[in-house]
Amino acid sequence: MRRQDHEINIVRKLIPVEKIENEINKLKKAQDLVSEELEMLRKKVAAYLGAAYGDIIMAQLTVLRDAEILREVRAYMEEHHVNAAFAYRLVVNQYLDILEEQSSEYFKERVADIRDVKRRVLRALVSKQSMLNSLRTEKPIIFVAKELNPTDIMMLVSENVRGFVTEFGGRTSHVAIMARTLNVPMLIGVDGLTERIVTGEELILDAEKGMVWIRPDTKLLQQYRHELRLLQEQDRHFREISSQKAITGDGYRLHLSANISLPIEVKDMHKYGAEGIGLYRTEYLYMMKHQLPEEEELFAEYRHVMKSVSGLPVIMRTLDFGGDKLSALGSNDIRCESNPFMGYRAIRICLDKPEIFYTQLRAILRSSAYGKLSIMLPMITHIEQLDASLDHLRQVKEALLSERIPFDPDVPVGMMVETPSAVMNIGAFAEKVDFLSIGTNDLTQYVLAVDRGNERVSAIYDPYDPALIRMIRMVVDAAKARKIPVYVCGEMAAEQRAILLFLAMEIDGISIATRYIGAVREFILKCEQKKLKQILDPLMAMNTRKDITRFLDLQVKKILEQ
Amino acid sequence: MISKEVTILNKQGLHARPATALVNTASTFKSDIFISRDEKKVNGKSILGLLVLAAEHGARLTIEADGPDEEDAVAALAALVTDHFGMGKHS
Repeated sequence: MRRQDHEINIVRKLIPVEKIENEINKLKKAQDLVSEELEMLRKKVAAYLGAAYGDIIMAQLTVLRDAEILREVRAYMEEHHVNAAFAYRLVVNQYLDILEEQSSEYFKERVADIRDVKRRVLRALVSKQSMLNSLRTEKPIIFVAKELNPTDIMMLVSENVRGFVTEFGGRTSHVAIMARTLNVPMLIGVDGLTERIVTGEELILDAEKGMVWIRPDTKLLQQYRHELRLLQEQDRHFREISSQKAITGDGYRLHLSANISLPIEVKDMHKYGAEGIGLYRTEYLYMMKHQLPEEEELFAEYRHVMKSVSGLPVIMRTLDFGGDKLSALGSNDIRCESNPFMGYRAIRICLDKPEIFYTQLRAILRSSAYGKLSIMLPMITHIEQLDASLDHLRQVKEALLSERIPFDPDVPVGMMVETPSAVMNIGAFAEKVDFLSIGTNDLTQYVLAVDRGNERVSAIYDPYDPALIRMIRMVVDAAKARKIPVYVCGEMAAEQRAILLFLAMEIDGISIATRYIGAVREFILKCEQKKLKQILDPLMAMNTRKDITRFLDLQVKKILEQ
Repeated sequence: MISKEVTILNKQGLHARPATALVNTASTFKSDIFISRDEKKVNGKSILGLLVLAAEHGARLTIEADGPDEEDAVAALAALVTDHFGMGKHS
């Protein structure tokens, strides 16, 4: 493991006049180290997120090389005879103070960049090495820090860093999402860990169980090494069967697609043989920066994804910002809400701020010229919203036509079914769309009126509640009546008992995180759909989630024991 | 020394990317370059200086250059501002 300090402690030291030049050279050397570090980060960011994000790092490099800073630091040192670290921090802090006073949102991003550059330079100045140099060891590393930001994660995900542990941050924070997306184990909120270990000690990180073992004994190490080997073997097996379609023993095909939020995940999608992207979350482009992305940036990103899936279908969900992620939209009128999940989010924002919606729809439509693309609208509660969205889409299409910009004129449009009102009125919605996709995470939360992030009530959250099962059935029936496909894209879709339920209901496809694709495929291959159809009637007659779960688990067991 | 007055046309003002573009262009000239707004005058080759100006959409700035290539410098920088920093008319 390796631990990293949160704030770098800088002390004021008096420096004799003749040594000032020497001090300035140290600062220049530190800047060179950081420059190297940022250059490497820029390449990584560009590879993971696309060239537009590499530009963010370009801006940091410009801050690093700022001629005025070096001039002012030198002037201060010559007048006050102090060390470079102290003078540098003081000069940069003065700029930060001025910039922080400015109310405009557009400068906030810059403030964060400047602070980041300051942190990097001071760290390099004090430790005389960059974060990267300090990691150049032969052994695999678990990186322990008080706090990390998403760009740190990206930079550290190299051959050597195998996992992260931090003291601060939430499960839904940007870093957590970044780590999950990049498939690196990360544990967040391990209070006081940096105080209890020293660099170089052995550590076991079990992110699945949420545990860190400090100085594990030989027996435990052996046990974990064994488990790791089993997982690797399993992974190899999943890759071997990746070219097989997910078809039951008696020939029912369940389309197996991947949820992705970063272009880098397309690689894993191919690796495990997903048959397309069933949910492309487009929020990331809006979250990385504190300003709205431009059409060209979005288009470049979407086109890149369309090209990299090599012809497989992609369902792009329009902006689904909600709750805590709102602040990143970078607009002044986005306020703290007492009940964000019931508030200003997703399609509600898009219809209220059509300029945001237009920009995204234009970029999405333009990228439809590069493959099989469908558009999916989130958080629809009533028909008027769907009509208004379709109307916007029509206008964007007309504009593109008149500008002679290529796009797919028949791009299918579907909606997420994730609110109780959408379910209760599903027949009317199904008339107007080309497909339905049930978002079980949000639907569960809204149907059971429970915030699953709230520990005191999270036990109420359960997608196997009879209310949910009946609602899913209603949606499937409506889709069948209209002969349009119906998909599921919630977390439950990766669970074996849910797979049985969906096969029994004859759902057309599921979309899950890439890491579950292999296991789900293998399970589907073992199922017999016709037999499963018989479980539907008894299941729909059950009135408690306990009965439903127990019944489904029994069926799973039967299949696995065959 | 020569100078020229320009107006920021970008909807989002002189934020991250335009400021970076301005610094990069200014840095290609030998002349000293200053950008001023009202009483504030900053080094045109410093991104931090430019950000301190907080020039939003519609802000009037004076570009000033002093040195061997001052004419070219002012012309190039003024063109950059008028061209929305090469980011398109809708930015």
